[in-house]
Amino acid sequence: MKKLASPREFYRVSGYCLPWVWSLFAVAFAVGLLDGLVFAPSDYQQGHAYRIMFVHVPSAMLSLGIYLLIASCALVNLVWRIKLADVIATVSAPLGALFAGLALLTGALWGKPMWGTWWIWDARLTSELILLFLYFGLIALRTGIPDQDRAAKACSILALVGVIDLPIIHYSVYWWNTLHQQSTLLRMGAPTIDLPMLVPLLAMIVAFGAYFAALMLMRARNELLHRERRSQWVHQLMVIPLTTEKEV
Amino acid sequence: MQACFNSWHEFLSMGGYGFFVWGAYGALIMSFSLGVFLTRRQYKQRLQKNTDESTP
Repeated sequence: MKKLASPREFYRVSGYCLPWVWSLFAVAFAVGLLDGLVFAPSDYQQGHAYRIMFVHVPSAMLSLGIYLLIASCALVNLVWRIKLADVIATVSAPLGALFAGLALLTGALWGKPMWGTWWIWDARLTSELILLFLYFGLIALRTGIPDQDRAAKACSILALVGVIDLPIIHYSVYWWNTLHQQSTLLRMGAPTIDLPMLVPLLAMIVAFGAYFAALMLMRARNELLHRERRSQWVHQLMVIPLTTEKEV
Repeated sequence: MQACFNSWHEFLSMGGYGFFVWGAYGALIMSFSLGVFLTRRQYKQRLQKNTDESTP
């Protein structure tokens, strides 16, 4: 584990993992899209509009999961000063913002035909919007502070403070009277969703997770190329792509 | 397994919710493509910058 935390080793291992992660994404995404759009039966109340769920639910789950990952990395970085944790937190914030934005956008597209409105200041929607602003805050802090160590510290503190929003998002539908429905997957007991609808939903959750993992690894490798640009292993690495590019 | 649509028109209209359903899937495809494009561009930029710095 300690060996993997070294930038050089992480760069090497992530390079091996990436094709596998992309393959997993391709298979799960194809199954999720085909099953979700073509084969899953229509809902008896919502008709075909419920198919937005196969984009909305994984986006919302990922937006929460990524924030939890960032907060964990922030804690690791603050306590053990492991730089790779800061790299992962840095590159994950824009991806978390992407999923939070996608969850809000698809939620609006689902809300208009079902609730009759694009937006309402409902507890679930508002707390998810706060999560998007937390991601924007992390990105702004990172780009606004030139000193890398100070930026890492400030982002770590903000990430840990912002964790309070996660249980609020999850339990908002139980604590307050909201328009948003209660959880169908992450709840006590069995999921309340029918199996032909559950299968494409699970496939899409796997696909979204794989997409995040692949992009996070790629961006972490980019970040390492930048941060470690004066180290010997990056200098050695630069020689190979240059020569192959010139040969091609 | 049987498709729950009888024609292409039925599939595209999504029971009258076509704008909302295809809007959501369109946003998904666009944001996923943008994510990959920006990450690959960042990789090329970093590579170029490092190469410029390492060459005397």
